[in-house]
Amino acid sequence: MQIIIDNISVECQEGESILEVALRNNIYIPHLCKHPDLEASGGCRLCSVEIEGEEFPKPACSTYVKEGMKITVRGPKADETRKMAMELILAGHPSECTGCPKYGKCELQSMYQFLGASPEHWHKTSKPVPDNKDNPLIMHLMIRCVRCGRCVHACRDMRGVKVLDYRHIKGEIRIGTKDGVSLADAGCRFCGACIEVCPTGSIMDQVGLITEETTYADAVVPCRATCPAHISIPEYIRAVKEGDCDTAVGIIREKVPFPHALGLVCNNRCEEKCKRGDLNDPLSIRNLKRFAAENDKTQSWKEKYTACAPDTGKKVAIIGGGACGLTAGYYLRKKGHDVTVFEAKKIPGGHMTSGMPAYRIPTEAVLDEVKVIEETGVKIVCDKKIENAAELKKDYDAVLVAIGTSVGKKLMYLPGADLPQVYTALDVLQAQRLGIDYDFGQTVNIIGGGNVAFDAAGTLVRMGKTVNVVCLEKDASQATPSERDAALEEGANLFDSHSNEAILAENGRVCGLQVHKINSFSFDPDTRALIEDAIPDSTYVIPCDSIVFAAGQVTGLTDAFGIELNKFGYPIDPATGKSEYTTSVEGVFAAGDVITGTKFLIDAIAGARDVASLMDKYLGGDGQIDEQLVERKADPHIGRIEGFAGLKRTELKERDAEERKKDFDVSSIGFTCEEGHCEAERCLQCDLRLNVSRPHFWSDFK
Amino acid sequence: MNSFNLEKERLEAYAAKEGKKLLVCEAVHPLGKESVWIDAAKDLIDSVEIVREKIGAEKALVLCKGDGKAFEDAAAGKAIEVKTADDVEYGMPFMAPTAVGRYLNGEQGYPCLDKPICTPDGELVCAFLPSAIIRLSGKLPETREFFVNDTNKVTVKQGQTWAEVAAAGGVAEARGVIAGFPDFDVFGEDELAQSFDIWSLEGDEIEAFDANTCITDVALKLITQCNDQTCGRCIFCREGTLQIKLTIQDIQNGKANMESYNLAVNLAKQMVHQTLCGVGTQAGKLFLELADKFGKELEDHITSKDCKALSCKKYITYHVLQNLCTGCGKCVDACDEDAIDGKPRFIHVISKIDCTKCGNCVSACPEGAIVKAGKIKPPGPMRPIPCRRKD
Amino acid sequence: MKKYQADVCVVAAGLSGLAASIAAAEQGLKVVTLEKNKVTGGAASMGMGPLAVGSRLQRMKGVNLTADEAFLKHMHYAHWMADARLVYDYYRKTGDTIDWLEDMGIEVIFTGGTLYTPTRMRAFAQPEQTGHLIAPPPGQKPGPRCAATMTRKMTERMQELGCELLLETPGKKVIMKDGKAAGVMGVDANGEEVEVECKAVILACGGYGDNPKMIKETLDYNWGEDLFSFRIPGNVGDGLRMAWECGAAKSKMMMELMYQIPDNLNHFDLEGAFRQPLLWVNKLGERFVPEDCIGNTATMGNCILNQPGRTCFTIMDSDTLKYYKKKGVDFPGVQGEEVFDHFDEAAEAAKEEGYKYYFEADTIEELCEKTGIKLKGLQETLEEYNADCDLGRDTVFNKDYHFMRPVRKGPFYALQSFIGAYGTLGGVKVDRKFRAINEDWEPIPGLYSVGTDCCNIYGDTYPFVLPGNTMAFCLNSGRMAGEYVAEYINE
Repeated sequence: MQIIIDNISVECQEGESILEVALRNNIYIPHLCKHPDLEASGGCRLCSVEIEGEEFPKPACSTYVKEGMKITVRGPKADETRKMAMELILAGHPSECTGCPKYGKCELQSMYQFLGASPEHWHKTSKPVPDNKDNPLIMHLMIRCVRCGRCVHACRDMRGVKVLDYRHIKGEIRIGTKDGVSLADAGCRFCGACIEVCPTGSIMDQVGLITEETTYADAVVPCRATCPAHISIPEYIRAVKEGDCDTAVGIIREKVPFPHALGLVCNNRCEEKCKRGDLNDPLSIRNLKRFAAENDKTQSWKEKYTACAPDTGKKVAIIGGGACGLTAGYYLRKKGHDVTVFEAKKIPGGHMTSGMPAYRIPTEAVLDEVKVIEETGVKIVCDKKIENAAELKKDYDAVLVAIGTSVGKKLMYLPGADLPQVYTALDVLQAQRLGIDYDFGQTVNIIGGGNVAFDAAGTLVRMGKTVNVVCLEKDASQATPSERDAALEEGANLFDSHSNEAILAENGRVCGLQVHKINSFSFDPDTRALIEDAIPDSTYVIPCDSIVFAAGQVTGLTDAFGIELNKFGYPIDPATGKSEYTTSVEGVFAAGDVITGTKFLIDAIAGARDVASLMDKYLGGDGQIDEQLVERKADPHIGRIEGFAGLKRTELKERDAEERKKDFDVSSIGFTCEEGHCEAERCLQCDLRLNVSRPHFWSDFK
Repeated sequence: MNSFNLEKERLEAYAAKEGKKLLVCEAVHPLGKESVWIDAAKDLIDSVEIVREKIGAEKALVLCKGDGKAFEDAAAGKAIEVKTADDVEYGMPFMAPTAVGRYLNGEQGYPCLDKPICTPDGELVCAFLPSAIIRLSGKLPETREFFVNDTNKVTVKQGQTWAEVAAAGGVAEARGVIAGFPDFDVFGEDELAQSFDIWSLEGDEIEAFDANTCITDVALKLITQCNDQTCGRCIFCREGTLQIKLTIQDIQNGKANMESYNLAVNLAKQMVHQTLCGVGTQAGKLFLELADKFGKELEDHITSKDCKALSCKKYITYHVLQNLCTGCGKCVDACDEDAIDGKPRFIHVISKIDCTKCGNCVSACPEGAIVKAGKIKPPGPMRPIPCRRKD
Repeated sequence: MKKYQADVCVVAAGLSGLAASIAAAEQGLKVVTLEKNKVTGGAASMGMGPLAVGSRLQRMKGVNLTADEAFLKHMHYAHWMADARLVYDYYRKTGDTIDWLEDMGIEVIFTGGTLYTPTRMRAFAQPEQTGHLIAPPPGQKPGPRCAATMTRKMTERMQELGCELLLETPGKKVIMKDGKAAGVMGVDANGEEVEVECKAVILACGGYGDNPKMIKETLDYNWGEDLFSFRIPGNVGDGLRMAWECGAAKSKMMMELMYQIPDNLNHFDLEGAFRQPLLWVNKLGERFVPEDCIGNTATMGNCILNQPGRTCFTIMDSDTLKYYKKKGVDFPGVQGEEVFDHFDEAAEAAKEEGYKYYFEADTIEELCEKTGIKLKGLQETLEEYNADCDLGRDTVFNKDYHFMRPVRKGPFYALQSFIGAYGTLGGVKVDRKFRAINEDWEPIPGLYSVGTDCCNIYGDTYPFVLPGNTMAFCLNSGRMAGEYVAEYINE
């Protein structure tokens, strides 16, 4: 169908409105209450146009095209209606703009700049309306509201939650909830669609949510922004809600190759930033990841996941088969490079299979996920300790050092630290996971109060030992509370606020640990020496048969490894003097714990992604490692859920302490289908808001 | 005749459509009063039957407020259901056909784009006002009930003149009659003698006023009704009715000028075509007809500050007639602004500045010596002077 | 990473940014302009019109003020604490700039003195007639926001001349190459980096009015406690920071002071009602200014600045309120004449909302209790003031006797005001060609600063005697910088 707008003939179909046709053909018609995604309401009349044969101007947004229509946008009659409509809107609007947080981004401001209308000769009918900042996440500053109704249409038609509507409040028409109840009571799902469509900043995010430091998308979806690997969390939770866990795992695998492992042990920093936290408590994002991985039957993502780019003929060697090495290996293989991973221990998986206890992350779960990586063609060679990276570089195009921090640190300044029965926490964990036996005897004293200490304690309890954990910090504040309490429940004893003096021995065998109590302690900022506020003559001996140091881990690298290290044994790049992905040897890269020190699994994987992209560019590739594995749909119509704001967070159930301390099966029970579904339903789906299209400003049209 | 809803066209359009249909007779009174149609329930239900066949609808529905008993009795045995729509917040916008459609879908009854709307179980909603149904059925009863000046219900026979209706409604020598919402037809003094077809009116309200009611009060009352009932979706209705209301108030208290008056007239011209339902359109039409039929009186208020009906406080002053005042002082006690000064046996004087024109003193004066005055002021002393009357 | 090539990169498209872009483009330069917001015009979109001296419109109205006279009046007012050469060039440019605007199709009208305050006000006894206004739509009175049509026409003119306007793209850092400004790094809406390589950079970021921390550090005002200035979102001092990072020296910073009630947006009528020549007292209950001088907001801002707690109160009794309700306002400020029609509604809404700065009390004692004013001080003042009212002459400040209305009959109404400000001024040291200069007065090649970032020609107080000055400075500094940049590049 053909119509003529401002004597430009344009193509269009039946059922389209004049406004849609004009905007599509780069012809600007001023409009305010029509939003690209919403049904027209025809209320504001700013889009009036003159149509040949019609005596009075018609609203372009709600007048449908007919064959051969001749339309003039800026005709005299249409302009008069438009100008008067604009003046009436401004007459009911505060006459002072400069105090408004939306200044500069406000569509009404752009409109009066374009039309030049001013309400001076009308009565000023703007009445004071107190700002309502009591609701979580959303502020109502209704004195600025021009009652265009876009938020009403968004809430009722686009989202189907039906919370906002026109209300008669104190003899005036205002937008609000029924009888003025709070958003939570009215059933609001805090999806933020009303904020996105509001042209004048009457409905805005709470102060502080949107800042200049982060981009708008990161501020709106803080969980995805906080996750070091930027996993698209709302999307996979939505997939879990709809019950197809394979799409959920596909979405997770677009960023990380170990969904199940992360679902078990990730330190979920994303949950601290989850906006649901402002309502009651955050989504349990990690447990949902685990739920998805454990219920992914069809693995619909696999076919695309293992497809690799054509061979580039480049060979890459990766030293260290932990999370970081395998992830980098996977991505480099996907880019078509020939990848070989050298792992010193018997099985790959690094920390996941030898640095954490089996009851937190079972070995089979990790090996299943490693198998998937091997299916892409990554070759993994176990029991092969690489002595010199520079040497290895000779017969490979690029080398990645990803050995993590797999050597436990012993506090050698403690007298008796060189006795035979003194081990490190990693030895304990490897003993159980790799079947190496050490002479621990019956009672074991663990020195150190971090998570690794309590992992070792849990493992030793399951090996039938009596365990004493000795640490400086009050209530072992260094560890995550849940892991500390779990170990203590299983029978480990805690000696907090204790400082060690010496390891005692009796005829060449460890027999006790000499300690004293302290009130508080601190580290000298530059020399890192320990400063204690000791309690006088509180020294006594805790008898034991062996000592386990859980006082941090190091890389265990020496200069023999062939690359420049700093005094703590971490590789550095001479150009910057700091630990970087690049090292002193050209073509040799480093990533994960080996350059950042002991961090969490997700940090190692995120580091691997960055270094993989860097190495691909080094090897001549484009460095693009993002991939789309599964189709997913984001249905904007989310509907009503009664009592949505109050839905409680589903906690993970732990097996009973007595029963779980006897075996090495996973100590927590994953979500049931019903639990998984209703936890996933709590998600505010903050990302839906980003799919709302941006309204047009006159400056967008040349 | 109100050209607003072209009933015949809509009837044919509904009839032409296939599929399930529902005829809705929308008897919710615009201002929430109990429906005038309760007395004529039987005639209404018969007409509903006729129109239902005409458009081929299986069922019909009568919506009303308060108890629908009269309708239920009349509709017994017929495929007509009666529903009390007490949660309809505002009546005027509800009279738009699209509003009924939204209401039956559980939304608030406000007008929206004129697209066919179906009920949740798929029946096309065909909505008419009771008077429209009677007209469309062709069976026009001899008499019809109207509210005159909101309160007294009047039965009007076919062929009666406006003057007779006004008198029946309690306004003896009416000088103007206005048909209520949604017609808003204005009849000046010279047209009161004409008879009218009782079935040509949409609404069931009539406003009649005589010489001592000022046209601005009547206009203010009707426009305020519209402004209270606006649903807020259209700028020209929500803001337009408010601006016209404030302009009329300005005319009443002397703040208007011809420029702001003409601005309101231009606004009314726009309102007539730029709103989605009758409230904005008819409010514009009302102001235009008032400006046309009573324009002179409005302009007198503005330019010569004169209110013939002596009701706009700004333009009237109260005076003590020197030949009747006996100096009894009763008026002083009645005035709570102590705006009247005077001593016993002295002619009292009302101070221009403090007098708030509440009028209490007029009724308090036993001699009837206090009168209102417009442009021409009765002579009187500036300060209290001894009474001259000798009785 | 998106890359752009240009001769000049203008950071921010407020009034000075727009003027600079147009002036540079008119000299045939390729210009790229980065604007943080979605709407151009910055603070000017809310303004009314610039100052001009010697414009065609003035001459037609028989006003023959010359640039030299305006220059001398300005320098005396600012005690010669400004760069005289710069001020002189600026005033000489303003007349021609009006014609420059008119060529762009902007209608300008000349109204003479500032619109609102009656001439009986002492502070305006000899205001120069320099105020020009952007014409409102036909048949309408001028009011706030009139200048928005100017910023729109300038945006269109800029694009007509081929400038590339990148909206929602804040400039973050100036790139220096061997001592010269050679580019600007910015970020677009979805976080992607934008780099503009150019030979010269003009910073026009509009001061740091929206940065309370910086205001506290530089001027020791506490936003939200004793300062309630306008905070145009986004004006956080990027221009200053970027200039200082390239070595530009710091210049004296100040704020265009005036006075305001907190959250005036929601209590506009209330502010208008109390901005009358009533009884103004400070916390000690003493009068501190001849109340008929409150029209000059700049000097009144200075007065309140030196009161305890940087705050003051306006007190009105019920007689005065009744008088105003009947007769209307003495001073029709920005809020218009109808403020007393809605006074009761506005007072009701303030009480209901628990607005902390509006008080009603039946007795003076109760009023002092609620407001925190010293009772003894206020009682003494009232005794003296009411006596003067009966006498019909203000023995303390010789305020105009028309405004001597006693404060006797309860209930009493009071409103608390604080210092406010339009925005900040100054921060980047510039020479007369608006080139940013370092500590030892050498210009940093290719780096220019215009508008409120570098405006320190006012000494310590805004010259109300030459109204429309800040908007004119932005307009003309942008235009002049645009021309000087062309000189620099074509060298």
